[in-house]
Amino acid sequence: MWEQAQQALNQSSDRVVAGLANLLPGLVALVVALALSSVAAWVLAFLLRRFLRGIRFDERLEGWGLSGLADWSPNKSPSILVTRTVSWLVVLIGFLIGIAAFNASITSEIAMRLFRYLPNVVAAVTLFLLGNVFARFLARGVLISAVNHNLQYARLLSLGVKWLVLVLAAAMALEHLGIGGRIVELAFGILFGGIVLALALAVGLGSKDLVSRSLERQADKVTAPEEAPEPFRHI
Amino acid sequence: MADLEALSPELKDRLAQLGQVEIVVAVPGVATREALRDTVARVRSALNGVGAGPKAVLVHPDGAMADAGSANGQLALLPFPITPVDRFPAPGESLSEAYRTVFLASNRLGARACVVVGSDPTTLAPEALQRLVRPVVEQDFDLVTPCYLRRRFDALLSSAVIAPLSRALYGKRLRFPVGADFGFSARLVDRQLQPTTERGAMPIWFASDAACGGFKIGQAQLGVPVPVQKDPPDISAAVAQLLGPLFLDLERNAACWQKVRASQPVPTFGMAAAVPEEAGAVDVSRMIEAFRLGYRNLQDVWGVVLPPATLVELKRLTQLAPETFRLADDLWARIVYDFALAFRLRVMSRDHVLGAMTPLYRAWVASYAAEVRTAAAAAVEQRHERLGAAFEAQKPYFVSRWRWPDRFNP
Repeated sequence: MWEQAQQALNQSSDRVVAGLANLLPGLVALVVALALSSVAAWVLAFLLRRFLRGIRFDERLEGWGLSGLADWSPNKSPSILVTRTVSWLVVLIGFLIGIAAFNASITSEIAMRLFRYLPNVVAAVTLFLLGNVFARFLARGVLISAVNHNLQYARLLSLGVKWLVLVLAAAMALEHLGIGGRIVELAFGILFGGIVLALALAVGLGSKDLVSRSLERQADKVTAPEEAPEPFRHI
Repeated sequence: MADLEALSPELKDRLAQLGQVEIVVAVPGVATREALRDTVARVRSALNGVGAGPKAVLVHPDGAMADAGSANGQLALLPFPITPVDRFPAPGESLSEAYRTVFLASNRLGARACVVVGSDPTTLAPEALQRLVRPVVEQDFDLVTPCYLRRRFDALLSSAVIAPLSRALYGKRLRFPVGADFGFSARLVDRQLQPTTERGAMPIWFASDAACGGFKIGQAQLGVPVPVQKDPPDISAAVAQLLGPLFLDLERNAACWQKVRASQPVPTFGMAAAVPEEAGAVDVSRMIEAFRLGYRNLQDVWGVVLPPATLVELKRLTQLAPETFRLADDLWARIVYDFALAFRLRVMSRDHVLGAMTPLYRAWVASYAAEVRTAAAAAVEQRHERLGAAFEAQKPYFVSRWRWPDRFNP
């Protein structure tokens, strides 16, 4: 009885040790892959940082009107954002290579799926970031223009434009990720329509007096006293 | 048309036939036969008093043809493919092209002096035209800028920014660095045609080019008000139209203006005529309200351009009643300098920088108008003098920020 129990225990220990022995090369390979990819990421980040600094990437981005990207970047520097993104991508690739080294069919399958999904993730993130930058640029342009035209609801208009573009960018990003399917399209339609309706109502309510005065003048053919033109000549 | 090689064979023949002349007078603003006939008479009368009857050519747009024989003797007519400029300055490239074409023609004809009358030449007295020509021909001046009668609310962008900035940076006290009517020497014309200045020939750059090139600059009293301009659709368009090229020029001439220490008066030809009295109340409340609207909405944008101390001053300004609304000259000078720097550093889109400056310019207009609405002409002139001095006093601030933009600026 005791011998049988000891035999079972030995067999079990052998199986665990054998399993561990089988797993160990994979683990070592994972650690090595992570270490190598970390080194590669560090070197790549170093070179990329020097290159971006050399071409004055941050200043150029500002010149292209993409200064909004700085707000989303660590230390307000888009160069650091790009460098870190690239280095983490390299580490991620190293991690996937390490997982594939286990030689298990499931992990390989996961790795392959992740590899296939990666372009979608990159495209979605890029789309969302660009959408964000574009939204901020457009919102600022609308705000300045509206203020210069003496529109009291300038900020509301600017916010509306910003969220329209953000919602559009988010919907496009989610579609790239394959998340939500029809629900995203529907939600986007409802949200987009809602924002447009809200803006239309805001503008309509804000300028109803103006419209009614204009209509009254048209109907009665009465010329209301115009505001005196300003005597200022600027050029 | 910026290349004489592209001219028609007839025009080339005509240029060859004219040979060398002494003076070229260009009138891109002339559009009709009657206006041209009147202009010919005025120019002939003006040139009679210059030297020993110099040989001159009147360059006019080829759309306005004069009667045969309307010009004879010392003054020849040259219909030329100049872009007609009905009002000065026309926005965009056409104006630059018009100037460049005139310079090319003047250069080809070997003229000693080139006068461009961008305003309506039928309003200028022959004596006024003479004051643009004579300093160049007889006293070796290279650039003669115009002096118009300054009604208190005319050419406000020039008064608020261009003239004081030009004085502080380039050291020349010109009343109208940008105008419609100029006299140029052959040397300055050559410089404008050099490949290094192929950026175009905008009037707003003539004075700075001449000052940085060490050319001799004078100004002529023309005895007429500031020419009527093509109105831009709104104030922000006017700000962008004038201040965009001006700020661009600061970037190009940075090495030059940083060396200039103080301003000097510029020789003025002719006596200033009396400015007609203007009556009527001016309501500045709309301008002040536009500034307050800007303050409520654009603080984030201004925060990128202006230092905190300036924002605090602006906040104080929003709380003032219209009667006491005053934008201090040194504060305004620093605001202009900060925006010029933001334009250079591209802290945001350059259109946005200029757009965001518009409510602040409105605040200056409101403050200025409230101050001078009942002032006499002499007091208005003193007001401009004080503003120019304030820009000069704040120049070290600008130089420091230009050189070390990242340095802490409270």
